[in-house]
Amino acid sequence: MSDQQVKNSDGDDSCKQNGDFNHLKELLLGEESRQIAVLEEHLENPELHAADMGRVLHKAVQINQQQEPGALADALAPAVESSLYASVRKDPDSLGDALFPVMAPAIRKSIISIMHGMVQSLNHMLENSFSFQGLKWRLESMHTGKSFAEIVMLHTLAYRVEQVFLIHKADGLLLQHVSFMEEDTQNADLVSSMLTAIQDFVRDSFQVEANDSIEKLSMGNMVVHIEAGSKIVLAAVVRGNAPAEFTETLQQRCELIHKQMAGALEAFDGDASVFNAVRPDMESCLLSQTASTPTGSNLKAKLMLSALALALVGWSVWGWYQADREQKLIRALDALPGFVVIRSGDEQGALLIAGLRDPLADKPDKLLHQYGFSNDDVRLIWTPYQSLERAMQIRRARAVLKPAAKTRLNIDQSKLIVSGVAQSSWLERARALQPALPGISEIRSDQLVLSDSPEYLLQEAIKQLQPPTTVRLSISGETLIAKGKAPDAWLKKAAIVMNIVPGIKVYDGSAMINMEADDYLLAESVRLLNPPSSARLHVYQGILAASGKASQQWVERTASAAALVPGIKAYDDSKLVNTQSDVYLLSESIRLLKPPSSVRLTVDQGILIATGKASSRWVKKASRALHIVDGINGYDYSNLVNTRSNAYLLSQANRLLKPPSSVRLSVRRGRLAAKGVASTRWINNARKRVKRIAGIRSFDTNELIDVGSNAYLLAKIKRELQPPATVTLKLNKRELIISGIATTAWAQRIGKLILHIDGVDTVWQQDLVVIEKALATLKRMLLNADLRFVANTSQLMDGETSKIQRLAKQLMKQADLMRITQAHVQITGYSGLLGEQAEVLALSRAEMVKRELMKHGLTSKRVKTSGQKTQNEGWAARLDLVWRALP
Amino acid sequence: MSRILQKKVCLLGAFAVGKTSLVSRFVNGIFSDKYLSTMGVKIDRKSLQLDDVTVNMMLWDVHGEESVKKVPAAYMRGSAAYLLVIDGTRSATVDTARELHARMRAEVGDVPFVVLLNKVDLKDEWELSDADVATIREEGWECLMTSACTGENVEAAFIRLADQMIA
Repeated sequence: MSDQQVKNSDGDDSCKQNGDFNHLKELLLGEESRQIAVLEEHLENPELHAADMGRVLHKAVQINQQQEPGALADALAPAVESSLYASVRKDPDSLGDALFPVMAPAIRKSIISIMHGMVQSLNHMLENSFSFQGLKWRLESMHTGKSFAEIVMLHTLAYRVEQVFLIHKADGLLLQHVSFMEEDTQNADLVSSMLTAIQDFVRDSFQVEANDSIEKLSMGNMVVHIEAGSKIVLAAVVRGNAPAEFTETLQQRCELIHKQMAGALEAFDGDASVFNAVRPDMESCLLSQTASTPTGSNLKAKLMLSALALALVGWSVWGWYQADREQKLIRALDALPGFVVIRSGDEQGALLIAGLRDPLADKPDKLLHQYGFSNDDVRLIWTPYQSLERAMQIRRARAVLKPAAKTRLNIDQSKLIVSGVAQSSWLERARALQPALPGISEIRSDQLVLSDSPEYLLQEAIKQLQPPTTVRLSISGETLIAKGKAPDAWLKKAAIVMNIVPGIKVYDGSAMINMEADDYLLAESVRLLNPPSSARLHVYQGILAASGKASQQWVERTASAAALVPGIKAYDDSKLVNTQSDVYLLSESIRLLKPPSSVRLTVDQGILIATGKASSRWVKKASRALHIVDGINGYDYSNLVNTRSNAYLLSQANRLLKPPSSVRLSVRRGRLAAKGVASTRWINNARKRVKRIAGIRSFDTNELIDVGSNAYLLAKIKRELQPPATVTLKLNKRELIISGIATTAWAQRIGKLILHIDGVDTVWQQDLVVIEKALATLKRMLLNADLRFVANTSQLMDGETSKIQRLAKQLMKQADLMRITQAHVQITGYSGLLGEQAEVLALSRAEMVKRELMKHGLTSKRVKTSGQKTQNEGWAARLDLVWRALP
Repeated sequence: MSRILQKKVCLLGAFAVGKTSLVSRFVNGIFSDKYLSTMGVKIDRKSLQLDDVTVNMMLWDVHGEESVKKVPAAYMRGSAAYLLVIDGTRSATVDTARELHARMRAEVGDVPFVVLLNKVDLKDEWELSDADVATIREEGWECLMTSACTGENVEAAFIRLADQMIA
């Protein structure tokens, strides 16, 4: 209680003191106290405190990061981890949603990478499953207890990471480069830029998403793995098959470098030296793995075993071959006639063969050689015996019976069959000896021909003598009879048949004809050649001769056919005259045609040819030669000259008269005519000479021009002057007269020429009318003739009619000239009247003049009229001459 | 201390203005008058030593711009500088260069570039007048008259670009 009181008393006291103190405090620190209270409030009140912190927290974090980088992150890490953990436990979706944009590409990338790895190993597994390698690996898998896939991977994953590039992503610049080989580093910066450019190029070209990039470039067995981060690109050049994990390794390195070099990347200005720091990281990517290859350690053992096996095989083959050879020999010996092999075996390295042998059998040496054995290799022990084999039996029969070479022996079961040819004496002896042959019960001789039988003898005679078909042989007892015909040689051969065929004792050839006898040959020749009655044949000592006459056909045919007559050795036709031969025909022609001495005859292949000169009469006769001379087929008289023919006479005339080249002679029916130009002397000579030519009856010189004659001279002058058709030239005793109508041009041309014409002394050309001159004269005359009329009428004044008549007379004189030049008189009438009547009157006046002119012979074609009125009186019609211009 | 810098440089221009020839002249020192159209992109490298800096220019010789085949943005991306090539004998190539310039700006921003008025060896056949060239220069474009055929100004152009890049 007291404590309470004390306390209370103290309390009262202290209360009083406190009150003062507080008052004092209030006075001194009133404002501060309130501020402290507010601060206290902020510190104590969590809400206010949190609000304060919120205002400065971001600044505080920034300062903290600057002062102690990482400290805050370290401090926060557990809290963040646990809060994330709590958040996921509470609601995984919200965090999943927030992380989705980050996670999804990463997961996708990872899955693709894993899938690719799986496909790769699967490929290898499949590739190697069915090969020899595959089987080997399967065995290895069974042996080691590892899975097959594991073994495949082990062997196939041989690779080497050769280079790793660290590339600045934005500009493609090389930050760092590590390589297996030093020389690769030279162009690394170019490669780096180019890789980036390729990335850009592909991205630009193929419309891919912004963050997609090339992850792998592969060429042959080289692959470039490209791992792109946000700022850098890590590219690894790998030769061979890198395992799928390698991509992961590369990813991890990329992330690591990102983290480590974040600052340097941010500040990168082209200086790459700071990135030397990441070299170790990159070098750790230079991985490699070698595929194990089988070693050759047991090669020797294998070789030895192989050699041994080879020797063993060789030895067994040789043994087998040797045994086979021996067996073959034994079988062959046993099969040999007269041999029986009973046993065989090996005796001191040699082959022992023992058995039975017929003494008549062949020696076995040949067989031994055939099988490649020598006498030393084989020992033979034979016991003699008689073999009943067919071959041995025949051999034995031969030895006993000794048959002739033509006799054949054979065995049929127990019968000895004798065939071929043998004498009957031999057959008898054989039958007697038969019991001495073991195993032979009888001898059969049905196929044996006895050499002393007639059939055999005839057969032999035919065989030996070879008679021609014309001979027939027969046997009578021991006599050979021949009939028919045969050449001399055969007859001689047949006569000694006894010496050739044993068994034939006599030859009878009395009925034979010798085919080489002359009378036989003649008969044959006549029969075969059939000569005409005019020819005769002879044969002497085999030579055929023909004489007399025969046609060419028979002569020719016989010349070749005679040699074909059997037995004829030669043919002589020198005494035979060929009635168709040219020589015979010529003599006949001369005899029958009797040609004159000036004719020479020849005959060529039946054609009669006559040359020389003959009269028409003889020629006429000769042309009938075909009928006169037998055997002449035709004639040729083209070279025979008919002395009365025109051609012959002409040639004679040419030869004798020798005309100059300007003269051409012709002959017709005995009249000689000469054409052309010749001298008077030649003409006179010719007239004399022509009388010496027989057959020329007259000489015609009408068309022959004498060089000295006027006609020749005139022709020459015409050639020179070439006068027109209207001009006539005449020559009268060296005086040339020119008349007719000509142009001035021609007249002027000849003016000079006529002064120098040979053979002309004077030229007369008064009668030559020169066109232009004559027409001009006429024109002048007409123009001067003004005709007057009675006023206002078309009646001519007195005296004018006679004027017109004179004019017409003059015009008519030159009518030819007017026609040639087609000239006409132009009459113009005039009148002094006024009005329309003037022209009518003028024209009627002109017509009046025309009528007057026509009265005196002018044709209307040569007169033309027109009318004109004029004031000028004094005359009333005017005339003019108009012609066409001359060429 | 010497530094090695790598730079991506794009060559842009209408078709047949001579981009590939310029690269060939600059990198290999040769010229062929045979025209081979570039498909996609061809990349060459040329190192230039500027003071203590070695600039490895990765030259992206992009195919010529055509109405039916535009240069894709992917090739432009990451370029540290670029060359705009104009064919002096064809004034239409100036418009193409302008369009490419605009697209390049949009893709990589304000990076150094030099304009090459190429084929100066064929000056007789030029469609571009001096006035046209002056107009181009007035736009603030740095222009160089070049010829891949004679080699005139080719090296100078690339060196100028490298200078700007390391400045």
